[in-house]
Amino acid sequence: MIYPAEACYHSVMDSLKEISQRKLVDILDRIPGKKDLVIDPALMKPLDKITGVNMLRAHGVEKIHKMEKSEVISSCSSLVFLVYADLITAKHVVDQVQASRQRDSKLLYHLVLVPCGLLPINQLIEEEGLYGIVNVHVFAWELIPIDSHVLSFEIPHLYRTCFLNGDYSLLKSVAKSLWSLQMVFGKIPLVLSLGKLSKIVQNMVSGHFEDFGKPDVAVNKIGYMVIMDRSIDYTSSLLTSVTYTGLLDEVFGIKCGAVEFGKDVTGKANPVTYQLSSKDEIYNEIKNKHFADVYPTLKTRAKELEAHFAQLKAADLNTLKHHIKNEIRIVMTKRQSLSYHIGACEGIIGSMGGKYQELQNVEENIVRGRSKKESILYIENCLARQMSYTLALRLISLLSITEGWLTYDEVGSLKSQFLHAYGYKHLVTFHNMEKVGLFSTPTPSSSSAFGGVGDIANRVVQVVSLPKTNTFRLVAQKLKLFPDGNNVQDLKDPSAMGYVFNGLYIPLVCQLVHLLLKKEPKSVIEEQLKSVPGPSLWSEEVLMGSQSSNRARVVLVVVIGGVTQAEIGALQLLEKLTNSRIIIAGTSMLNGNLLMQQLVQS
Amino acid sequence: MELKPKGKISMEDELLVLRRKVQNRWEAPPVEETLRRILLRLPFSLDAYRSLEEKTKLLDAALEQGNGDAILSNRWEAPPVEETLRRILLRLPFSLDAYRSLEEKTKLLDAALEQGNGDAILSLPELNNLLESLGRSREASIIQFNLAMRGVDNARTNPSRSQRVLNSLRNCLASHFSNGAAEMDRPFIVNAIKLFEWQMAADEKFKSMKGESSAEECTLGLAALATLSHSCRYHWEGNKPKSGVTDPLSPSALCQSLGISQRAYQWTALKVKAQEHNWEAGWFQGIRLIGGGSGAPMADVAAELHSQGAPEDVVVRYINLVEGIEERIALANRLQCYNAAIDIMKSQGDRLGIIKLKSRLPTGSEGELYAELILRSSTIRWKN
Repeated sequence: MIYPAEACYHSVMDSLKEISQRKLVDILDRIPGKKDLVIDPALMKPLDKITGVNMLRAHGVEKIHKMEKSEVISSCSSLVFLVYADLITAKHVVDQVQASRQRDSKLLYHLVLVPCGLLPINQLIEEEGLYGIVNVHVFAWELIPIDSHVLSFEIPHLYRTCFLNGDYSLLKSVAKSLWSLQMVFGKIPLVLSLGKLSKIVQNMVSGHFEDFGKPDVAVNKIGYMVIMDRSIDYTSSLLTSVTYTGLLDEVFGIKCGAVEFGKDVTGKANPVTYQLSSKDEIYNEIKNKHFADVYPTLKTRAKELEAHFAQLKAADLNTLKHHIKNEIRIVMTKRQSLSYHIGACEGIIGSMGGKYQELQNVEENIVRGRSKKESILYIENCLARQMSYTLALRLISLLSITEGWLTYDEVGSLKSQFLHAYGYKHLVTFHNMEKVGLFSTPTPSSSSAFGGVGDIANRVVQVVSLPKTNTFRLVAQKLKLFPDGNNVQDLKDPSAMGYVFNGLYIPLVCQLVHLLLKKEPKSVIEEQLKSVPGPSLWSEEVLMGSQSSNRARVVLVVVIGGVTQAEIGALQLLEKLTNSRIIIAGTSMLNGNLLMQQLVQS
Repeated sequence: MELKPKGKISMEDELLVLRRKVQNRWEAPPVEETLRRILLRLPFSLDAYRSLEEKTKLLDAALEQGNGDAILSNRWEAPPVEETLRRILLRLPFSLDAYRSLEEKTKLLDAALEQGNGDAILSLPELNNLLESLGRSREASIIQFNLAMRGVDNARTNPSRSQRVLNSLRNCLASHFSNGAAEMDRPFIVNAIKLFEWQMAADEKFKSMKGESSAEECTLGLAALATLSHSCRYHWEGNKPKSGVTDPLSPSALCQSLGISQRAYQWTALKVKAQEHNWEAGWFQGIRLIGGGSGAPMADVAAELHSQGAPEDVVVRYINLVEGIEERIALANRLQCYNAAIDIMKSQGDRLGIIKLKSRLPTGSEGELYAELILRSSTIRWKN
């Protein structure tokens, strides 16, 4: 089904890209003469999505260097550093400038910060005596379209700075980008924000409408916005998704909508960066499919293609000519796409194959709150065999979040075994996990083997406080995040969002969007959200009678801290089921492994 | 900024407005107004916020808003904590004298801890004491420990510093993990120290055994299980009769000292011995213990041995320990131990199963011939 205003959304999405492009070009144009560009390697992929080498060249860029430790020698009049705004990176730039000035005092230096300026960086430049020598610019890019209706702000370190370090400097950029998005799409009449950071962002956005202006656009193209902190629903980022894209991300890692395939997948000597796009017919068909159904689909398509080639063999000259002229390119692209996806499937089976079913069972047991001992045993086996540390941490976190009743000894023993396998330095990782709410240490019981000082008072407290109310279960029950077990559904042809986790769990944000689309009254939704930890904020524009009932069935979902492929898959299914349009945005794309990596002290 | 008044305004009104502005010059404007100006990067002044109350109000509002710039640009009597932390981080001169009140100190520490760049800060005794005095011992301890562990990482490339690293670990334990909230992590620190001591001794021993040190075999800084691998490789007791005195470098001694689980020990040993192609049957019987009777790990053991190139009879021995006939057959097929699969089916009298398997095997292959042989046998009582 094609949504009536489909084309319109595509063009508006493209306009976000154009605004970013314009902003970058403006900065480059403000720097006179030829310049060399030194780019933070982490910025390469997002920049590819915004601009190309040709465009940079057209605006005076001579050479493009990756920023490394060694200093860049430039023959141009200006040297432009393009980096993420981060004090340490800025210090590296400053060091390079100092070194370069020893040799060539005529060169002009520019520092372009993404996505915002930071006061400490300006102070650093002043202190190093480089004020007026290094010119600071800010490149506040807009949300970057990754695929159709999927946007990303591509600030992966936002999770760490905001959630772990409690440094909110980056939030103002997020707010600004949501403001500019509404300048293009029209002001969103109903906004629901969930969590502390989301509330801050929403308040900033409201402020921006007062200060920077409101959109002229008469029609509100987007009817609803939901902003949520990642910390509200960690479960969706810890569980293993069963969709094709989810597993692709799990095994190969999707970066900025592209995935790097090695020799085993492509059969080519050099790794190939493959852009995942819904415009690719094959990918579009399988992207959200349950993995069990992907291989058969690909096989069918491969057979069709074979049949097509067989037909050609028997075809007469005219048909062949027609084919070569019109179809061959499409067919060849399709063939390549097919072969890559088949290769990727094999890669996924090879990497997950043996453990997949078992892992699914363990995740299911943990989420359903049963067979705790078995789950612990599984984790212990993973640790003993030194399998991936991120997998072990994910399961430990999942257990800690969902099981309100992990004992002090169980926690201590898991921690101890983890430290044996991966090093005592990870004591800090556990501490970080505690800080962000992914792990908790219960109070020691009197029988503790871990040096707890058990006195009677402690024991009494323990007895009295049991059974603990588990927030996870409370929230899940209130919001009906556990799919109905009696209503067994065909996972291959899903009719409910829980399919992304094999019918185990529905991502919280998706359920919330569903409630909004069902036009549940405010009071009902607010009641359901009461159990969710963290503040929620409901801001609604007062609309004229007819307008409110005709609110566009278009939802913008924003996850601060990163959105997961499972959430995207579930929302895209919801879109189909409810005949609505859902635009998904994250401060970055996230999965369980990336989440854990952010918590390991570098 | 535009200096013209908004809309039409009479001269008298303007005069009034201006007079009020001049009069109010030294009164603090509402915090919301100031924060808005900071957020919009308009000129602003914080000079008028002089009383502690006003300052607190402004700071609270800034925190509530998440307005980091406002927090940073605030010229408190003491420099903003972020400013001080930044100076410490970049190794610029700084002073902590101005942080007098408990509130200021706490804020400084909070920010320091949140930044997680404790290495510079905690090398400073005054801050260290501060953390303790504020009852933030757990966080302080963890950061202090992190700092000491970096030394452990460095010791790997520079073993001559290991004694110093060991001392810093011991100091850390004594001064940070002996009481208070951090005590719960004490056992881990104790073990980290034991492990490091063990590694120093093992590297010394290795040097004396081989007459030279090898960077590859250096254990300093490795995790406990990786160290255990080293122990299994070079200090293996195997089936040697116990002399009564346990070698402190032996795997069992290491496990006991650190509390490494039996399961982790067996997996580690299994991997090492498999890599050495040492298929001491008697020893591997010990693997039975893994998993406490549940079937899955046995299959994992067989798969691991197979992937390490163990001879088929060794692998088959473990396949036969897997519970459930179906599982055994499936595993034997997966690990390409076809003869074993055929044997299992034979014992079940499953003729059709063998025929089915035979049809999948290449003609003339060993498995195919074996299947043929079994099928022709007249002594077997088939059930199908």
